Amino acid sequence: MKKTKLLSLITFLCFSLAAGPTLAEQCKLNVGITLHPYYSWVSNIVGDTATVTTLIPENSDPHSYQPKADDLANLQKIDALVVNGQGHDEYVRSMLKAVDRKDLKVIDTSVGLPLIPTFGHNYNFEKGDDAASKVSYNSHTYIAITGAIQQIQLIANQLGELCPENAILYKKNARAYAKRLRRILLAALNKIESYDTVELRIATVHDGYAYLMQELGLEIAAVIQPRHGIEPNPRQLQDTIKRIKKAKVNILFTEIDYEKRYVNIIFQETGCRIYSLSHISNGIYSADKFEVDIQRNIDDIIKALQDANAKS
Amino acid sequence: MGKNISGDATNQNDVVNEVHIGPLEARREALAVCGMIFCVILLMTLRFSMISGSSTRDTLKSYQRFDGSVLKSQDPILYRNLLSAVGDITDLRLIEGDWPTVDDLISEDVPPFANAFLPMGLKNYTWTRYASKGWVDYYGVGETNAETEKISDHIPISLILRVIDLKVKDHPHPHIGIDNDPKLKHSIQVWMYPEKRPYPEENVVQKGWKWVISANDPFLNENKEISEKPVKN
Repeated sequence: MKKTKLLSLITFLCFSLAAGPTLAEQCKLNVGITLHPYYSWVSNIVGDTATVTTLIPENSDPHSYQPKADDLANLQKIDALVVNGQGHDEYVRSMLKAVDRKDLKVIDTSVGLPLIPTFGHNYNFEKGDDAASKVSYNSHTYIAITGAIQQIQLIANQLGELCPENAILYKKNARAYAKRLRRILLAALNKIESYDTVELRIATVHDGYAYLMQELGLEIAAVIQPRHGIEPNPRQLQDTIKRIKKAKVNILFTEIDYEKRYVNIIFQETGCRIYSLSHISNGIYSADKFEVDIQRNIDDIIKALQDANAKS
Repeated sequence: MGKNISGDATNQNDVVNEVHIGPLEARREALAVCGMIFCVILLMTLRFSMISGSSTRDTLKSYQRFDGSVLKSQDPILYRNLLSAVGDITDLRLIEGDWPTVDDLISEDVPPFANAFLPMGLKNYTWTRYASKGWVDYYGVGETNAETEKISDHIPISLILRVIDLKVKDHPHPHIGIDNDPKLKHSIQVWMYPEKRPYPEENVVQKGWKWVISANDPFLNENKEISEKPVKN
């Protein structure tokens, strides 16, 4: 009798040990992402409890990316997909249509997020609230810290729904990550407070930094080239110079890959100081990319303010 | 020089085809043309309504306003921070068993309660928590000071972040989702009054406060319903 009991216990323990990893494996999510910041966000939320799959190769430009057959294969093996929701990852639309997966959880990071209209397309509320539905919104919702935190919480909650066993862990990780990001913002605001920003006229060559400038309490006076990645011809460059002069801009933020020769010409013609910011949607995927790139952007903004204050 | 047209027309060698339209046929023809015009206008209207999509103005309640229409100057930063604080508030409630106090949120470095994380012009808001078992209000009101006066068009406003646990029976209305909603745990609302105003308690609508809605609010996108009255058991 005793032998039988012992045998049953051993059998039960064996089954339990065998079943343990299987249960854990059930919740090993594979989360797809469409943009670089989402790789960092999801990696920090899930830690090593899930796989993060990138839909497009490193160093590809999401604006002009043309999906390949291999990319569709990636889309077939994921459980959830984190998307921009405001069209910054337009390439994924055709991919989703092609695979037609009803079971795929698509996490739209822009849901519930306060959006900023694209530059020059402000609300026209004199015509009624309905105008809000006809405004096009800035899709660079990932180039900012406060908005990023709201999106990170949304992703953590939705992944937690897919994997309830890890829901608390995801929330905990998201909060710890948010704390780190807020510290970056705090340090930036402390520095910005020491500069006089009243006389500043800031312009960007691309309408990608409205969310970041807003949370830093800085106003963008002009967007010189609203479209992304334009190689200006001489006429467009002349037009850019004219616009800078007209808007009385004293700080211009270009993109990192904006050609140095244009920067020099603009500086010679306008006297406007030029700095570069990262779009955070190119290069190598890594868990710390968002923190590194947003810190770099903030450092460049502070450098610009510092130089402008020193000059005045 | 001049050619007598009428003279040509009356030439008897010419074959003139005259079409007689009686009064009845003329009326029919006119009706047919009117019908066609009506159809064209109808099709144009349908096409236009398809392009423009559904009217969000019709979707909004009288006490709701889009963020862009009511939040001025740096107010959107406060609104954004309030929405970003919700995750911390609900998580801390889960851990502590009660809605976090303003001091809890400050010690956790959660803006806008921790005002160090805000630009200078927004550090003048004081926050108070009004909590019940199933819902909490964080009421904030701004004071004018030397810093806010630097921002010419910035008038301090009054704000309420209301978080409602829909699973708990007694809570204020209106809110998104139904009471005890199986798909929605919390209803999140930001209410504002465009100047300094005392805490309105539950009666935000009656006291003229406006519920701030972002253009990408789930309420608009997922067609979630708004419960205006408690469900009677």
